[in-house]
Amino acid sequence: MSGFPVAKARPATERVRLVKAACLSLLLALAAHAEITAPPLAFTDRTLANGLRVIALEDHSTPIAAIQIWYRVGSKDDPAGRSGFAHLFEHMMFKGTKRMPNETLDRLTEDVGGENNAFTQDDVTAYHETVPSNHLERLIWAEAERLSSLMVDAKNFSTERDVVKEEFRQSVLAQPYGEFGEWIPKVSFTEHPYKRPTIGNIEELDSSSLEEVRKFHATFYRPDNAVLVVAGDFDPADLQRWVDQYFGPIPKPEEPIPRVTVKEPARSGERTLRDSSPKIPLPALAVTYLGPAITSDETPALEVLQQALSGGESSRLYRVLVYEKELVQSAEFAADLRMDLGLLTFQLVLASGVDIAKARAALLQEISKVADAPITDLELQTAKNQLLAGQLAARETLDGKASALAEAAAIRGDPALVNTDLAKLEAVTAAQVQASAKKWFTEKNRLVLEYLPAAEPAKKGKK
Amino acid sequence: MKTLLLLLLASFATGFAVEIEGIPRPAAPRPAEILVPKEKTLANGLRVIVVERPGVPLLTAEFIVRSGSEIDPEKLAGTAKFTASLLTQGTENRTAPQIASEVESLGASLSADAGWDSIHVTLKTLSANADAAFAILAEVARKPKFAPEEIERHRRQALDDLRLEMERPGYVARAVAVRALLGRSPYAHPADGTLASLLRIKRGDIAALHERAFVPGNCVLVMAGNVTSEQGFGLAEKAFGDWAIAKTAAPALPKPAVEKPRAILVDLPHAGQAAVYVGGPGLARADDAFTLAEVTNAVLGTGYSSRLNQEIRVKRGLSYGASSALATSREFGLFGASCQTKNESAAEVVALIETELKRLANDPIADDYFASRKEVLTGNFSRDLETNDGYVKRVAELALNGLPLDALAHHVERIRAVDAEAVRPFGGKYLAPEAMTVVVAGRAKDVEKPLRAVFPNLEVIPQSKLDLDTAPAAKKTK
Repeated sequence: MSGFPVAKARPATERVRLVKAACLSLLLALAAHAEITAPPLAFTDRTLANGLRVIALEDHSTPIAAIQIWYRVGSKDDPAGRSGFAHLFEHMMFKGTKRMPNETLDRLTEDVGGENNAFTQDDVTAYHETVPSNHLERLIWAEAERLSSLMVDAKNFSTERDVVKEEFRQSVLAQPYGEFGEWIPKVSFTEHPYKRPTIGNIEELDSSSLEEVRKFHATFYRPDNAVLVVAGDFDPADLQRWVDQYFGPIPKPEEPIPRVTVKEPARSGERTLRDSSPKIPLPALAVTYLGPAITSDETPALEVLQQALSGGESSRLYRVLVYEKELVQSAEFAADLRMDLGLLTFQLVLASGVDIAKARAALLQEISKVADAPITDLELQTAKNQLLAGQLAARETLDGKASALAEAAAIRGDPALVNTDLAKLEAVTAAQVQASAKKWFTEKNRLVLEYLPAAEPAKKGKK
Repeated sequence: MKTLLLLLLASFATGFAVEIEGIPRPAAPRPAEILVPKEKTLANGLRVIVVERPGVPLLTAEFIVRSGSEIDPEKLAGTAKFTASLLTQGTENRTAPQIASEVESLGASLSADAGWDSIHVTLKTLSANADAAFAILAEVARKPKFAPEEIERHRRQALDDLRLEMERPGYVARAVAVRALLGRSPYAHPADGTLASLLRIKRGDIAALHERAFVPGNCVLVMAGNVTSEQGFGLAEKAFGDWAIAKTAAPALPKPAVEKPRAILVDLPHAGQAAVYVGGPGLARADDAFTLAEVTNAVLGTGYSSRLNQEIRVKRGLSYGASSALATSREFGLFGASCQTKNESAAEVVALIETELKRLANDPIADDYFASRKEVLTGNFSRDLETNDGYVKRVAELALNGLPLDALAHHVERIRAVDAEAVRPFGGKYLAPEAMTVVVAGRAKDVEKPLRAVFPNLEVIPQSKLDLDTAPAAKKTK
């Protein structure tokens, strides 16, 4: 059931890095002295008079073209009382325009051997297609068409809203820990709209109207709020001609784009919240800390920390909590960094019969350890090699390359970062990883969430 | 040297019924390259297949044993998967933490799993580290220790995993349907095992399964990535060349007979959504009619604009997505349509699926729609061939089912050659609603009444009484 427009496809780290495999394993006598290189992404970057940023990467390795158009609007921009609206709107973008019937994007992609999808995050909404390259011009036309106008009638609006409600039921209600996952941001942020779950909730989805759809399109879907990336098998002169022809005439509105300016206050002391659910067989525990924005200099160190704590079976949380102490069924740490600020989240599902206080104490001990002492050389090199391999794999496809460029341009403001991220990652030291852990993993900045099996649903609240 | 076959992969279709003011026409399609796998059988009988993909400095390798969960001993459902999971948890020379640390420090990953007809160990590595990574791959496949403490640790984890899965309506509906469809066949039980069977598996069962199935002549090693075929064969020879020939090989299994259709409701009182599964007999992957089955299934349930998704999601907003799939083994296959919907709509969704099954058998398919459904399949294929993992998946599927590797080069033309006129008789023969077993996992309070109106013989199983351990799956309670 993948392949449909989805909410919240937020990969922990999707930035692509180039490459030098570390010489590691002195400890292991496996010395893999490998200088691995891959060419930088040789893209072009221009901005049209109406503000649309256009990034192109010519690559004829396969007769495919990948298109990504990212808008700088996300669930943090949901209107008041309309949690889930940006994502609901994403679904409406697959309806029609004056000239284009509903679901034309599917006709232009999957009917000819291509695919399309979209996702909404807190900061951005991204639409992407992969097509046989002889169909590229039609997609440039269609993306311009749905940016310049959108026509959704009452029937389509209501049916597609029902689809989103089913998406909510499938991703939240039908998952044992679905509501737990929604609860974490709700209580981790107090002021910033990052506290709203991207998928929203049934009541607020039901309150939304067709008029609000029109208004949202007019407010945020404008060329100066978008980044278009095309990667693949095309002649660059053709591509730029199509972009000028179809996107060029779209006007740039006079009004400024509204931006979220709310600042999340620093936390003032450790808190513990408890809740319960009748549909979980095992207790769960989360510990969150507010963290830096994604553009912070600390980002590479936090990516290494994430990998060292929870990437694979050699990572600390797996080795200590799952394998050695057998306290938990799963243990994850995510440095979820966003445009305005980040959230550093530990999430555990306990093993059968384990007392939650014991799991909590063991987790807090591991958190203290990374703040009190540097990770080992082996941990550092393993993390770097894993990040390197993951990012090489993410760049195997044209869609992966286009996505990396779009993320760097739309979220971090500079597509060229795709060619410098790796050097920054390679330069990370164990001392920097420790310094970041020490800075953020303080008692004052800590929120603990305990989620227990219950006979019947309980009210959320402090106990 | 590498040979390339040229094939017109880029599409000829222009999309069904797209007549839009201002839209440009598609250009001429451009040819795609399909790489030809190279193969060699080592002296001990291990078949090795290499796809050369120079460029990105990565390599994916899959070591496949051609026996899987169907050789789980009687009453010991889950043994093959248990065995697979233990491979990376300690060998004669390395402990589990040592394996994890060494593999991951190389920028590699190593995982193992089992399903119908196969146990596979998958290695993904930086190609520069292939030598060291292959040494560990071979060691976990050939010399696992099955230490008692690892067995107990894994048993606890597998039980907890299963407790979580059993709360997911989609998992429950499918597992119950397969159990009901395949009755007492060796393929009927859940590959994950059951809460009862996992407690019964002993070290001796695991070691015996390993000894019986992990023999060179019963295995295939497939790799794709930044190696030449000579390098790939060299890696295989070094890691597996001294693996002794053993006589045993997995026995042929009887072809399962599909049981009489049933209608079952599993009552999950806390389910926030109901899962619907409508399943029946399918075809073996190597069956001559498989491509026809795949195209027929694509009309019904592959992709966003398939009929099921159109009717259930796009037109009525009843689900986030409805689809159908063909599960295959060497001996037989199953068809299954599935979908999740709010509890109150479950019966309506079952009726919509049955309507679409009838329509396949009765109504002609418009030419442009039919062409577009075939392109969904060719598109999935062409995107798979963008990655090492995708090549390995496609090649392994051929190798496991005894199909020639050059089928890769003819895949697209075979799909395009399927005639719309063949779909109706095929649909009537294989996908008739009366042959289907219907399972809904959801809240009986909301599901039962409307569902019983359609299926007077509906069997209702409370979550607490659900027993996947023995056939038949259900005891009639009403």
